[in-house]
Amino acid sequence: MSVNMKCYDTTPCIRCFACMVGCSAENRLRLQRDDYIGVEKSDQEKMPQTYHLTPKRKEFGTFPDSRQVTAFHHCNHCEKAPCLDICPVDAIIRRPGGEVVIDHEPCIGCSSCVDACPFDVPVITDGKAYKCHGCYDRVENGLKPSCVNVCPTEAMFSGTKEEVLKEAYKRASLYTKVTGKEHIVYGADKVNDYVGSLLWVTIIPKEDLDAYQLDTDPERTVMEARNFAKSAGAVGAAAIVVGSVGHLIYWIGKRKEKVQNEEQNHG
Amino acid sequence: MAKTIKVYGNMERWFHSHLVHFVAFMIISGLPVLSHSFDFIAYGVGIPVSTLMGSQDILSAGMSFLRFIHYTSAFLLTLMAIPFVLYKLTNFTTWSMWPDKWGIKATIDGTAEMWKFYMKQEHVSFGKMNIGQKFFAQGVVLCMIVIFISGYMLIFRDMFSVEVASYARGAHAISFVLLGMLLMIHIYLATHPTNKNSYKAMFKTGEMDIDFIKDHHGIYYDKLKKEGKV
Amino acid sequence: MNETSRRDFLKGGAATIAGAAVGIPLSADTKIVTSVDFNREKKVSVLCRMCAQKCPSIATVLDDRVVRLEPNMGTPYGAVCGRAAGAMGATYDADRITTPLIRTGERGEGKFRKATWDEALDMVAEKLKTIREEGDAKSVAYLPRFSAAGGIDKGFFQLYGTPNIVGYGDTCFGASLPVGYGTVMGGTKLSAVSGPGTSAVSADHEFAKYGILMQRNVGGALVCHPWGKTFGLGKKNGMEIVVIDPRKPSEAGESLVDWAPIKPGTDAAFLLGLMNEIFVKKYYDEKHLKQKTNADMLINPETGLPVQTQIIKKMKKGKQVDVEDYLVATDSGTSFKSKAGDSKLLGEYEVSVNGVNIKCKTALQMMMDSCEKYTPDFVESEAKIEASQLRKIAKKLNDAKPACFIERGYRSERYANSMREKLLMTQLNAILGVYGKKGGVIQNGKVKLGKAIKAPKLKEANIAKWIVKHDADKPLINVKFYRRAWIEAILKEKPYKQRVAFIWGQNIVGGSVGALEITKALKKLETIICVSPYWNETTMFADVILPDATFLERDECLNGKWKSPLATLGVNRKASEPLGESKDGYWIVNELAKRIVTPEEYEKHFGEYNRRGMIAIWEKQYQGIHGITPKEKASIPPLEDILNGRVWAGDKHYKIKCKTKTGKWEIYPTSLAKMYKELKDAGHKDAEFVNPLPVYDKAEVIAQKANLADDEFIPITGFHPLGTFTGQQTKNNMLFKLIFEEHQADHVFISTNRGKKLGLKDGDKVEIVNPKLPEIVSVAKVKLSETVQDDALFSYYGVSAGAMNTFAKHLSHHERDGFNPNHHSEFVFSPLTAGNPSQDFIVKLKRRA
Repeated sequence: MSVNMKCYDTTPCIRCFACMVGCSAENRLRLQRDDYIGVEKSDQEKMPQTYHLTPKRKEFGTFPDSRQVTAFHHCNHCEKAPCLDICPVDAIIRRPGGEVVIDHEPCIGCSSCVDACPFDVPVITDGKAYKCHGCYDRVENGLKPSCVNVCPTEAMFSGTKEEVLKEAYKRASLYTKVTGKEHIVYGADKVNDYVGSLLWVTIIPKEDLDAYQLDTDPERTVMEARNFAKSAGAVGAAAIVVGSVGHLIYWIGKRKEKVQNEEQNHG
Repeated sequence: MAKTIKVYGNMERWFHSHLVHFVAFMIISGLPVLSHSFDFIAYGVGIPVSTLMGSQDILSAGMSFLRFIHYTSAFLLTLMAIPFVLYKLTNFTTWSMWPDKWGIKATIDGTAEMWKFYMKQEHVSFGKMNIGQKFFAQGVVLCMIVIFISGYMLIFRDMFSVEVASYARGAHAISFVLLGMLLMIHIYLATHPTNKNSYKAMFKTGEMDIDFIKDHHGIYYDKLKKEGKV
Repeated sequence: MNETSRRDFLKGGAATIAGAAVGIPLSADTKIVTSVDFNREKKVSVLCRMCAQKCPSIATVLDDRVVRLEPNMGTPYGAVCGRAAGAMGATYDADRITTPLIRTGERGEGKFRKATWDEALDMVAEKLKTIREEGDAKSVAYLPRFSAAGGIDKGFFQLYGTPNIVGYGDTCFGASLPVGYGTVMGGTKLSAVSGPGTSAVSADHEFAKYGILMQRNVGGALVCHPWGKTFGLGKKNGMEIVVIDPRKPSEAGESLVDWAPIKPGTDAAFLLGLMNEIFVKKYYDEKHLKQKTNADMLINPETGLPVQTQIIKKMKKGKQVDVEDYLVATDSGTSFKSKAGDSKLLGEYEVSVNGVNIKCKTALQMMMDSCEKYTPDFVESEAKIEASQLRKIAKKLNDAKPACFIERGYRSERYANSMREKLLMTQLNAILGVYGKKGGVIQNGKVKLGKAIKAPKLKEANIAKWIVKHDADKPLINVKFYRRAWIEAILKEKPYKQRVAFIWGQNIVGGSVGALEITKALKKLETIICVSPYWNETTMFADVILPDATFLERDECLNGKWKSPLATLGVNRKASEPLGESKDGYWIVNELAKRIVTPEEYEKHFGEYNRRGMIAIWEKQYQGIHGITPKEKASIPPLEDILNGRVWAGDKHYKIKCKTKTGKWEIYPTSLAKMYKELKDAGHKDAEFVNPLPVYDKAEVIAQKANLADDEFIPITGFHPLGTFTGQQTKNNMLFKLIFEEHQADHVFISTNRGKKLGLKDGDKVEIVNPKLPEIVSVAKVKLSETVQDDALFSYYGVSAGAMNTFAKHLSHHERDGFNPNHHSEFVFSPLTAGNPSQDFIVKLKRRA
């Protein structure tokens, strides 16, 4: 079965934020539809947990060789999702289409996913973790994800991995040709061992990876140290058990021997 | 002349007994967060909890309950630890876990003594604590400090940046693993037949035979003699 | 009662839920309702009104509440922006006005009490009726903008008897755009100008190779359908862009987008430099100039007028029309253009006209001579754009032409010389030959509809038409859009007293230059009625506020006007019931009509609507469709389909209308030349502003002061992608809050360099004052940025409350601070056009103690 992929193309994007507002509106709708909150109330509150796509603006350079770059912050639906691996209550699952989804029923807001994610994606609000779920409910019923649906310029597009990569590479090579600057599809190839490849890719000038805050080596060193400690601990614990049992047997044997010797000496 | 002497004070024994309970709770409630291999603990707790609370997800109910246990134990342990630590700080310089002799040679000698006793079962002269026990005590105190501070940081992790909070989490997990391994050795040796007098002293009477001390903890005996206690 | 729980949301992914979709069935061109909508949602076709562009959208309705807006993909350019996605936040704004209100405090205080519709309508009707019976209907002005009663509101007031339907557009594109464009491309009488405005043409971004964005860029997604979309498609197709802006906007793109950080107020200098460079480097096609433009027209330098003209007959579309023929120079002397084979583009010639020898030059020669001094170095010193960058831009235009464009800008009434800027842009586009070409600038299409009300013509001319004749300083005033001239009329009581303002959706206090004088004028009126669901500066002066329903809660008449190259027909349908006591606009007008006009008039114009409702209006409109090709007309679907949500779009025509008398693109605008001569002969001080030759008539702020002091700035604005004109739908909208906060959208932005000189750092509170009006002080937070030119003080338009912020006390989520330049500007007019110099003054800034 083919997996679903989303692509963000930085070139036709007009920074209109329809994707971000649309995402929030769609999530409010989900809550409304599931009777968690009334329509009006949900549109009268800020509800930060409904924004799974957020802008992170930064300025670069000095006047006049300066610009602002809006990093598009969102879940990448990693091929090897560290959040999914670490979740202690198995609240994070992968849909058949590849979307990494947090199920809020079991989620206890322990922040393990926050610690594990190298992209700083999940956000804990009111004791639950929130992040982009790929609009899998829409996708599995033949609709486009909300961000793709509302994007006016086809900067956001989606489909099967094959379809999306084909289009993405086509665009990247056109941009490379026209601008003379290499454009790449970030996330299409394995980014690193910690996350694998991504199911949300970005078409971007290669020289702009830093500006758009796209990490070429996303890691949580602390979590990797913890993973190492876990493995070492398992090995260590096993060694201790074996060693203890071994020592006990040896000691008892030795003790018997000693007692026998003493009896012999006294006897 | 007295036949026994108090080796573990009432405060120490009270603290240690309760500590055992609390640490047991904290380990049991902490293991499933560390690794999925211990999910059975959460399931075990989760089945009755989810039935009582009417929640649907067993693992989640179990983990929530374990978190409650963990936090409660932490708070109670803190309450208990405060007077103990304050009390112990009054005689900070006389703690048994400080080395009698420093240096690499002393370490090698001490380790050799351990081997002599626990493997070759020969006669040795230990202090109140042998080198192994000293390393263990130092290790536990260090790990406990890290675990306490990182643990509280995690309870209030919203006060810190995501990055700092994840460092706390890492520190908490790593010191837990270390502590766990130290405890496994400690429990094995504490329950070992050869240490039954220590076990009795810690858990039952607080006292030890002076003759036994003279025989097995020669350095300690000399110290006591110098202090006029025997 | 819904049984699905959040768990089901998870489960429901794979399963389809049984049951057919409920709601208005839409045709195949629009969205199809599927089972994922969980069987309780319906789809309604709406035309988004979060700004004024009416982008066709689909509203999803759940239990009589709108829960989602998405683009209606029934046209090739289906698109909506972020504002539409958050429309629910505006309709369900807790601080929305949902009952009629009657003023209790002083005008401006913002104190009101609730009233019933009957009380409020009776109050309004009585006043209006009395005035009408006194024969003084002209003293009532109707100011529509976000009117909820399109198609009948203006007709009603015309029937009522007032010629003063006062449009807002002098604030936005005023006379500058129509004059600047129309004097080159025709389509208007130069005096008493009324069009063509912003909806006349579109850049064909989709196929353009290169474009210049100035003054406002299409990426800001007002006019998302279709400009935002075509712009994005253009970028996707490899279009290259340069942005000429004192602030580098993100919307044009953040990677590989050229930025020329122009000094505020010097746009004309840049354009003149561009024109000069194009002339010097011969970046024009000679054949094109001879064929399409009047570049070869022989001009008498003394008068500025064509040396000789004659009227000839030509066949156009099967009809005989009058065309103004003119003299050109040829190899064998001079000749009328119609008879000349090839003509000369350059040179000085001598012609004998009626026995008099006249030395003359070609128009192009005169233009070149005039431009000579606007060298790249001039541009560098005046506009602060590097000479090398100017040369690069000119070359790129040449390499790309005709698949290139200079965007005309938007909300572009800014400086004394705004008309000059528009004129230059048009001239440049014409010289480069981009009009009517693929990738260039093409004519917009529209569907003309039948009129719902055919009110009798009035004898009395409106105030603007009087001004054209009697105010020597405003000969170019736009006779449709003249609200500031209306304010002046109130203050001066000329031509006659104004007594009542019926303001529907306009926010004149927040949106026009000279807020202080404007409020003085409003206080002079006897009665002010505001129809608005939202609080804004102007509602503070109302005597009666009538809450109309938001666009999601009302049917509207058919709409055939978009800023699109494709003629488009669509309609806004009611998606949910109006909240509270708010009413749809047609009901409001109908109720007023019942009370005010005679029973005969009522029956004639409103009887059908009263009996049958909106269908009466729709039928009249639909039956009167015209203005499109027969092929297109044949393809328009039945009215029923349109009403059910089908949006129709016609064909794309690569053409441009040219309605000049000469039939040419008058890069040398003869109509302007005539006015210039008249004004010069009369000794008018502002004559240079209509010099047909490319000259640098300066912005006031540039003319006043070449160099600013350390604490002086020129206020510039731009649209935030989620902001809109006066921000009523967006200021208090919780769906936008998070993003506004991330952008610090209520801050003012200055260059890091200047900020440091003033000892400021990010987040400091500053006071901003126009030294000429020191009593008005704004307090805002400042942000230092490397993407702002030194002289500019940038703020997002319509995002913060500004100085006149009493209205903000009615809004839960809107701080009473920030900066709106309109609150600070003096009540002045741009020369000759009665324009709105919204950025043409200096402010001082200092840290708040």
